[in-house]
Amino acid sequence: MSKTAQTSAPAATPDPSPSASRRSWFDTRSPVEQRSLFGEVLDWMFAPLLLLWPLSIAFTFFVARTLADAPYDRALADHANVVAQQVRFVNGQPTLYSVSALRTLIGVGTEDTLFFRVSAADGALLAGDPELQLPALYDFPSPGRTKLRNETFRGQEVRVAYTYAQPREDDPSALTAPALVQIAETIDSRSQLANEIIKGVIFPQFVMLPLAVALVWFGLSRGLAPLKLLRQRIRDRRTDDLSPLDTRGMPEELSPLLESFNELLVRLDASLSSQKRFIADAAHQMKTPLAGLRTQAELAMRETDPQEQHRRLRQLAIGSERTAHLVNQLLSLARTENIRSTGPGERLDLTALTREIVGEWVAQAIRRGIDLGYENDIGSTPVLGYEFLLREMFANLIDNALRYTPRGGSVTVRLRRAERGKVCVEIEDTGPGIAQAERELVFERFYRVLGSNIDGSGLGLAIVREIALQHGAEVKILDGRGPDGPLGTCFSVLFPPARVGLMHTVNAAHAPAPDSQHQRESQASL
Amino acid sequence: MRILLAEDDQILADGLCRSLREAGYAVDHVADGANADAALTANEFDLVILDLGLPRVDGLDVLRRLRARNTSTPVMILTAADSVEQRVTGLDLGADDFMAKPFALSELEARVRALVRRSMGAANSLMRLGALSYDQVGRVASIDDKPIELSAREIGLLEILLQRAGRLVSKEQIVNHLCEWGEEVSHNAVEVYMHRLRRKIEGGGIKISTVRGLGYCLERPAEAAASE
Repeated sequence: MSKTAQTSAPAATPDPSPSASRRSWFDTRSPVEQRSLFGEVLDWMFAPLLLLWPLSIAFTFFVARTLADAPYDRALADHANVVAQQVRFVNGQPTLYSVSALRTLIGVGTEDTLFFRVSAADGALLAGDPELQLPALYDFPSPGRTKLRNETFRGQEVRVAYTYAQPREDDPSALTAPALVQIAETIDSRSQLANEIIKGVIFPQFVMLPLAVALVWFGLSRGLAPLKLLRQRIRDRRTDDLSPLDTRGMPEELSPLLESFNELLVRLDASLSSQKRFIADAAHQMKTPLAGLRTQAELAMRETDPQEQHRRLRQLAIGSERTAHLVNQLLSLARTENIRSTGPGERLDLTALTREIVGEWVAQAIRRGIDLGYENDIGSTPVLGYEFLLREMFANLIDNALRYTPRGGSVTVRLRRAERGKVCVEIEDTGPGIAQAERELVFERFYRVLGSNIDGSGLGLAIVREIALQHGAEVKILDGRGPDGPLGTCFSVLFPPARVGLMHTVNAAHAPAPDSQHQRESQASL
Repeated sequence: MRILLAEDDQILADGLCRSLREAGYAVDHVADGANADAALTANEFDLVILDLGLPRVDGLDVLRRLRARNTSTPVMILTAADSVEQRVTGLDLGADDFMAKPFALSELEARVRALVRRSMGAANSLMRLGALSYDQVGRVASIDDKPIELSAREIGLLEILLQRAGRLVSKEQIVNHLCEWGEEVSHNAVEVYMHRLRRKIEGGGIKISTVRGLGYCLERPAEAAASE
């Protein structure tokens, strides 16, 4: 029975789709298994169900048998007692009162489903069927009790009720050994009842299960419909549409997903528009020098006076040099922005790096007649960062300082320890200084301090700020400290202690006296 | 013809100044919006070439202020951004022409000529006044189709008078339109130029009358006929 139930179970899921969705398990288009939510739910629902179902059938079978057995057993035990009462003890000898009475009382002999045997204490047959076996030795009932057992009788399974027939108390032969009364019944009828019960219970299940599958299917489809709607909404979008997704009609469970998706869209929008602005700015900034180059070239071609022609060509050379510088700065800024989010970089010695960079600018400073100096009151200063970026940053700051400082002025690069373990790199010049109102603006792309007549791409400080940001450093513009009161500009780059690393704390423990390491390198002025 | 060039790129400005001066215009150059605004307030120009991306005061603001003063000086905008919106904004604010960088120099020169011509009220480049005709492109004046030889100063003077034919032109106006900043032209010099110009063109029935203490007036032929 349970076997039938098991084999019929797969047939109970008539819809082919769950197996179709399960097929996606083997459908390995991508290395990571793509699983269907739908299939997942169905699998986790029906696989246990298919295991539980045979169990429930077995249980039903067992219960049905017990239920069917109970009334039959009771009737059989009653019959045994009836037969026992028909046993009379005469002179200590048990005899069956009347076999025909038994026939009318319990119908023994009328049908071939009921058999009996009455035997004496020694096992001698008193009446009934000798083929009915005696119970096993250990299985004899205690006096006054009726026991039941299963037996095979004439090749068929029977249920046997047996008890002792005892002489009454007042009987003179009370001490006579009791007689064993056994009555057997074939189990056909009770099996029939059990089968009936099982049928009654199992049959509705064959209807209910497919119905349940259909309902679950329907429910899942309905429940997953918002996902389909969402997919449609995303698919219908134009590529440049970065507005938040419409969350109307979306179930509560999807809202965290949608929220983070919309946040991503907002961030993407911001980054895209900053990129667009950058490209527009860049294009805009490139066109003016190009117009200048073109104009000068056309004039040079028209010119007949060699001297004037030479002047045009010189303008062309200056212009193309500036344009190249602008392009380089643009690329450098783009590179700087791209490297964001690639980790903290490598361990560098800020002292060695700044000293090296200052060294590279000495020749330039001499040419411009500027005293370029280097001051350092701390030892090696490890930081985490990208060498080429820091190089770019300091080069921009020193270049800037040299450009804006008039001949005879001085530029000082200084490394010093700042409060709370920070390390400060200062680039100080004796140039015209930057007005308080402009100190924030100069970091913006393409902003140039007016009236300075200094060539520049307008990108240098934007690059400086971007690099500082990436290193968690802070760039500030302070008044320069000239010999007689404030003079010029001082760019201070403050590296946070977290970036200064472990070696720094070791150094700080036995830090040398500030002046012992004080050095002024590369005196450029004569 | 006096032109104000407001452009912050040194090399471009240098090239444009050179080209415009070669074409015979007096050119003043400013490198930022504030100076452009100041120059436009203080002087009268025949044309303004205005870059939009000017430092300190944006080019569009310079234009807005210029038009707010009810000045009809033609304005040509130079811009690196060639978006339609910016063109529309510029033209709506009262710009007369628009050039996107980078441009061909010859095109800019042609457009400058066209703007100057239109401001003189002529649809084509040949202006006529009685027997006198003046070709703005070639900057050649002729009487009865016979070219007359004029110096650059005399041509400039004739242009100013033609532009205001029949109206009074003061000596200050003449000085203003003839010279750039830093150039010194005295009233006496103007009288000398005027004398030479008269001698060269008055043979063709063109009359430049002197209004004592005020200036000069190039008489239209009808007026000239009436006064005789």
